[in-house]
Parts: sequence; structure tokens; C-alpha cells
Amino acid sequence: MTVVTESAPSFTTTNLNDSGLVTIFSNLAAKYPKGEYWCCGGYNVMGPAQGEQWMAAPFTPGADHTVTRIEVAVGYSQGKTNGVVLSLNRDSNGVPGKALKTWNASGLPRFGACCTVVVKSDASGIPVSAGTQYWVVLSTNSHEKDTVDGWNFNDTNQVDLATVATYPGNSNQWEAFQTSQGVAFAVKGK
Amino acid sequence: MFSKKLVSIALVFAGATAIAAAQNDVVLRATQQRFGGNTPE
Repeated sequence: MTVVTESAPSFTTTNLNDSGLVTIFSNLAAKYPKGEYWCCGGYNVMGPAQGEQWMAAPFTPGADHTVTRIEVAVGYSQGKTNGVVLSLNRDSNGVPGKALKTWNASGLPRFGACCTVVVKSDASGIPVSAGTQYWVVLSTNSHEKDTVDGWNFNDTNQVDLATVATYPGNSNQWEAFQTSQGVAFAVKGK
Repeated sequence: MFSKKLVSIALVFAGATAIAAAQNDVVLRATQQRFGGNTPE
């Protein structure tokens, strides 16, 4: 195995202007700008040429809200296209269901750095209901067949197991499972 | 026990992704990647 080494990337931070937004869900370590998420480990999000793997993480709003912004800690590792597809999905029997909104993100930060997050917004907003589970999904499109991205682990809970889901898994469908390393994201709105 | 988990892990070194040997287990759930270091086995 050939290993190319390089000095660790410097910290980069994101100055997010999200004043006035309600945090509907977040496991980003917002008080720690040099550690909003774990820089150096995450679940792969890959196109079919790399052994397709999409990932998703659930959240359940505590009250009725309208989602206007999603922040995801995802970095680009390799492939011709630096990008990922981000979506907010309904739940379908404990796994991601129909997408309520889909965004294409490009120019992701290099995986292994902290702490830039990928931000997507929807001015009109997507209504979500209290007590109902939704999913944030990272997938690939036809331009990202050989793309490998990494969805960073969150570093705000090292005690409780987190739920994530993967596709196509072992049965060509979404499969949810518990892990000690949940992925890092935030959902905001009004 | 950690060694019972099957996790296929890609190591990323400056953009070069190397697939590391997986651990031994029954079910492959989802692959992970780590930057700049070896993975626990």
C-alpha cells in the first residue's frame, strides 16, 4: 500500500450568520469553533463506482417548525466531482422516505479539516411537525459516480448510541442501525 | 467487543484513499473513513 503523507490541514471555521433562526436540531459543538465536529473520521458517502453508499441521520422536532437551513459536516475525499446531494426526507417505517427538498452541494471542504460545514437553505421553508421523525440524507447523483465524501462524526455525545441509516446496505434498501458514532449536522428554521 | 465489529475503513491521506483491511464480523453496516492516522482494530 502506498501512503502519501501531508501535514495536517489548518483549522478553518465558518462564520455562519444564522441569527434569528431557531435550532430545530443540532449536534454540532457550536461553543467550540475549533471542534464543531470530529475532523478526522466519518461515514463514507460514495457513488456507485466506489461501491455505492448513501447515509442518513434522523431528527425529531420538539415543536412544529419550518426548516429553512440545514448544516452538514461533510468533506470531499476523492473522485472527479467534488459534490454531494443533500436532502430532507420524510420517515418511512424507520428509514428515509420521500424527499421533501433536495439540494446539490459542490466545493465541499477537504475531508480531514475542521470546521467548515456545508449549508443549504430554502427561503420559503419546509414545514416539519412536532414528534415526527425526519431524515437528513447525503447521497450522490449521476455526476458523482466515483465521488467519495465523508460525513463527519459528531463530537457532542460519546455516551448514547445514535441512529443512522445506510443505502443500499445488504438488501438494496435503506437500513437503519445504531452506532456509537453519530454524524454531525444541524437543522434550523423558524 | 470491538474486534467483533466489521467495519471496512478507508484511510485518507491527502486525498489518496487507501482501503484498509476490515475487521472480522458478521454484518457490514457502512464503511467509514479516517484522516491522517491508522484505524483501531
